[in-house]
Amino acid sequence: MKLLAATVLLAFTAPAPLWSQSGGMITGQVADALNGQPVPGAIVTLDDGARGSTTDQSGRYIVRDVASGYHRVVARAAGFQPATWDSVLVTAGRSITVDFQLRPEAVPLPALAVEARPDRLLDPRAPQSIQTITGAELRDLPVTTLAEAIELQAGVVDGSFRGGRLGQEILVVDGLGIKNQLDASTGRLGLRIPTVALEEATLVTSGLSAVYGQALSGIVAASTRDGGDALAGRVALETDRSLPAGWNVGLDRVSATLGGPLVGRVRFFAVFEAEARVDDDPVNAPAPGDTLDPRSSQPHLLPNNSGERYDALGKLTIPLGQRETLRVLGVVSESRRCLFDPELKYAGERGPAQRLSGRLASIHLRRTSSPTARTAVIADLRVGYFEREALRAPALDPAGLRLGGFTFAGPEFAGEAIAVSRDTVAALDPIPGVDPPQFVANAPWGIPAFFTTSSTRGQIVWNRFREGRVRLDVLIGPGTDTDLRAGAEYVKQDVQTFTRLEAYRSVTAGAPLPVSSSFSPVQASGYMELQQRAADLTITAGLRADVFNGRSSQTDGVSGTKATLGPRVAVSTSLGRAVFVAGWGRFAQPPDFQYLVDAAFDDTLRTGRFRRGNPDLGFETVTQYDFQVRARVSDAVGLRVGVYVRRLDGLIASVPLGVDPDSAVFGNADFGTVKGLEVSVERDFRSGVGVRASYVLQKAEATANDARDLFRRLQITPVGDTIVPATTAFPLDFDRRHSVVLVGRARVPPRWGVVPGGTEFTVIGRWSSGLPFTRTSVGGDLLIGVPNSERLPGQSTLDVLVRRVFGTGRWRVGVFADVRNVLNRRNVVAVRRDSGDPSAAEGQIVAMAEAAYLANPQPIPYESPRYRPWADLDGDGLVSGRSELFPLFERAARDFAQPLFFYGPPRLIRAGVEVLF
Amino acid sequence: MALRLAPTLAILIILVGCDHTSPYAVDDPEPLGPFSDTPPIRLTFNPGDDRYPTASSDVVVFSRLEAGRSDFDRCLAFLPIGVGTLSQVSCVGSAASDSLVDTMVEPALSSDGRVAYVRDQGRPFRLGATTRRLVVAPVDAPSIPAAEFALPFWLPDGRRVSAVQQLSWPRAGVLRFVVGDESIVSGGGGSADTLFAAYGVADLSVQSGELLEIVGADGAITYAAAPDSGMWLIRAGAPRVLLHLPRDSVQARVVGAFSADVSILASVDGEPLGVLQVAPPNVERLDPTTGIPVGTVPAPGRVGRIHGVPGSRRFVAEIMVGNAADLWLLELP
Repeated sequence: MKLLAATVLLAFTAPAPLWSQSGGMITGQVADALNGQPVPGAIVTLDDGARGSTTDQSGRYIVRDVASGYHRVVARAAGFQPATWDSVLVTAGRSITVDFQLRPEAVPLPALAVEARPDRLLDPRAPQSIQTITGAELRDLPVTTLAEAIELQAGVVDGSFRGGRLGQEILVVDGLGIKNQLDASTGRLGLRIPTVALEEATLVTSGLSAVYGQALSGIVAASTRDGGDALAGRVALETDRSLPAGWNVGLDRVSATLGGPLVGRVRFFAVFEAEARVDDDPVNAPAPGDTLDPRSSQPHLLPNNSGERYDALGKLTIPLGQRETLRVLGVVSESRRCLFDPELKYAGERGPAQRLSGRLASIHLRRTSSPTARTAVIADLRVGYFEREALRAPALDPAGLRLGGFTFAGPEFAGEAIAVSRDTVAALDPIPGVDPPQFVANAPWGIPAFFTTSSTRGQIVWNRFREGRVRLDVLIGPGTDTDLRAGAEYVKQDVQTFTRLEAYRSVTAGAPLPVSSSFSPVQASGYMELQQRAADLTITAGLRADVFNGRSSQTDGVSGTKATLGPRVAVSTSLGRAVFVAGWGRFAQPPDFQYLVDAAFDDTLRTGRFRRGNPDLGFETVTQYDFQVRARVSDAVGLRVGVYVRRLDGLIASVPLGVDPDSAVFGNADFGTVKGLEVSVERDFRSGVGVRASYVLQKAEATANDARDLFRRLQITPVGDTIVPATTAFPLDFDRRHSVVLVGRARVPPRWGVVPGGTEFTVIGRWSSGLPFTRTSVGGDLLIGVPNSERLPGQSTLDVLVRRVFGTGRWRVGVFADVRNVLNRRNVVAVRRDSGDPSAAEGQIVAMAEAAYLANPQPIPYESPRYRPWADLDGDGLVSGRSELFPLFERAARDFAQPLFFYGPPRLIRAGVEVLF
Repeated sequence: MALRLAPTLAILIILVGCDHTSPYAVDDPEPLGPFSDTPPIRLTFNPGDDRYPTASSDVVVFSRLEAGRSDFDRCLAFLPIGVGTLSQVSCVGSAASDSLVDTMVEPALSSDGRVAYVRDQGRPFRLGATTRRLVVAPVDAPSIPAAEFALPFWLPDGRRVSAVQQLSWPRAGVLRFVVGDESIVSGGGGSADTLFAAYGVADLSVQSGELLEIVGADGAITYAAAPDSGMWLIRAGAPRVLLHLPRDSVQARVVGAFSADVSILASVDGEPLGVLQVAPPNVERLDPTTGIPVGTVPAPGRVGRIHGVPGSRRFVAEIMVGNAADLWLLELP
């Protein structure tokens, strides 16, 4: 009682929690089928009987934190025949109501064998904006990765959640948070959970649970599959080999899963996936008009742009007793890419490459109370290790493709040993294997300009982020109306970085100094979260405390311990066929650790090639207000409308120091506001057809006190006074105002014939208005207008998946075709900041040509490999003078400036075969 | 069931049986061939200087001052005969303007895939070299020395050899050149120039580094290989007189005399050719049997160095047209 009082007090004094993404809830009532009276003391168990609950005096029961997926639910009571629901689908973060009508033993009737699915809309116990996609749904969608699936959810744009900057989300794998705390805002996680390994994935963008921190905008929770009671698996091959040029980007993909019993009650599940593409970043850029450009006749694939990925996942589920289960999970991911560089267009198969690897190992021990216990207690102890290593450097050898885009061994990198050992002394000299750039002679234009033999950046960037994490979560459920969660987490991290630019020349010859860092941050957190239900009203409140210390030092500062409290509260209630949810919360995340230390950057435009870190950065925070209505318009159609306001504060920004434009330091300096409206309509998949449509209206504005921006807002009053505003506001980078996603599924009825009957079609249509961007002057050194005051054009795509599975027995064979961007729409994903268009302005082309010509105006003699007879207008053996040379520079500038990565992917088709058993 | 699986298997076979399309490839432009078909053929049009030509039967190697090099470095250039386009230009130092002038001059090709040259390093706009080395390197990587010999050398009689000219490989592992001392002399009006005072011809063993002055070739200012494996010589004291020094002999004999003083000798198809110090300098043939000049070879400008193309009646000449020296391919009548 004291505990209950304390938690109620907490709920009102410090409104807080929402509940965990790690599991769902089964609740309901057990009643006598003859008279409808509740049956107290009935035992409701799941699956093998280890989990369950006992009904109270009103016949109600609740089973908490149930793993996502299908479960068999049985109700038993003395004097009654057992009743069974054999396919109850549980979804993380949601509750499903399963009621039982028990028959007295004297009345012989068969047990129930029916399927129950949660109503995703009318669940007053779900105060969050949870969007769920199950493993089965993932298989039916034209998506390959978890990230692509998440992109289908409302409020997610190009990795940005609800208008936030990249990296403001956390991935939770089986209840254990994983985040690239080093450079989440600019780098990828490096770890991929294969979609075939997912039981389900959920996205939470509002009412973030107090259980997880390190996120401002979203939680992506992935629940991995356990091995089943029988051996089962799938082998699939996907490729675009048979397709003509333009539709064939050199894709090969193989995926294999296997799961089942191992020894005794121990189950295993394993996945291996490998994928490669000859062009790993295909673009739908128009072919150049100049017929001498080699891309004019083969515009579809870019050379030296291949990529390959390997992912492996293994999981063991080990029951230790009736109520203890141990789960061991390991994931290894590695991706390697050659990076096409327009500067190296004529350098053959040479250029920079990158390797990104991620490793995760986790152990999860769960203990649950007996189904007959009066107070349910579930304790989870999780220990995890995550490692991410990224390297970007010139490749020593050509890509060496062996099978399609597969190299298998991967490239060797110049300077890797120096980078990994962070040897800043050896790095003062030119790095072996990094060649000094020279202008190529084999470009069609001949002239020494734009195109080089090796990269002028000569960039070697390496970093490694490691963390060990231990956390304890306890769920206490006294009765059926109260859930109390509490837990704590400790994270020990290790960060190592190394950067060397222009590695082809020594520091004494003018290259920037190599930069290295090594430090070991720590984080700790604790939370408490209460959910109290009364009739149709549910109140969820929580409080989370986070502490971190970067444990980094620079010459002018050291890290201090930073602490923050994150209260949150949500109230939900149902009214007829609608559920109303209101929520408020304050969430925090530590800054990217990359901003704690100095770094060398290949960016002379804004912050110089050397950027000073700030080891004393604090938390970035957001305060969020939510209101949501979920309603059933009809039995099959649901409507969801939500509005939100998010106040961002303490965002990391580059703050100028003094008057030197290249002198800046990071600070928690920027703040802003995101407002949004999310509407979705869903027609359940019935009679072979299902549709979901969602629309998001959003406005995301940053407010900066950056002197550079403030200066632009300087005003002169009529009397001559100068007014410098305190702040200036402009759209955030991910301020996508409108976006619409339409997902439709259909299955051809069997009566249409053996082959077409049973074929499934899934269509995803997307349209969104353009993202903002900042215009600059042609020189790039002057902003035109307020930052992000211009807009890219809107984008749209239409993706289709057609699948047909043959056979119904143990062995089944399926074929499928997956087509992305069916209409081959040429989407503009970026523009030049000076022209506001993917293409450079004619004046800019001429300016580029002029500058290059003035740098190398020397004649080109006949014997030179640069000599082009068609350019020697007077035939004197010399291409000389402006009249002969400048047209070459102009054509070369046009070649160099042609937009490639300003366009999204073209139509991509893959065909596949799968064997399921 | 088998009937249903048939399309699946057919699709599988089609999928794995086909290959991917490839990205566009970048090819080097096709060589253009010589600028013209009949001698004199202009080999280079470089606005900078092309000097010190040497030739094998299939390639001409020379020292090239590339237009656009702001540091005035001279590089080694390789021009395959009959191709028209340089196959290789090898430089030491960067193309960027720096405080040193690196020059690679006096190249000589060996029959075993090596190239020897003199590498000078000096200051911009200053006469003379601050360091000078004789370098032997593989042909495919001339800037990476396999052997280096720092000058000055010292002859057994104590004379200082600060410069060498006209490198050649008379036999495997032996480098031959004219040895002498280079000094800077003042001219009128504050001008200055370098002056090479030749001592004679010497052989250097690349393996041992031993330098042997060839007896009988003392005082020679230029030489060329004679068909009998001996040498033709011109001595400083008698700059018109062609001498012949047979192999293994220590006594040179007079063959004949050119019509004017000779600065450079070359051997083309067994005939001695001399570059006459007249205005403008031109090339004169001399009959080695009669010792009488048999005419000049028309050249389009002032001739500097010449070198015969082995196995032909052609020779490469460094010819000054305007302000820059370029290479031409000339032919004996």
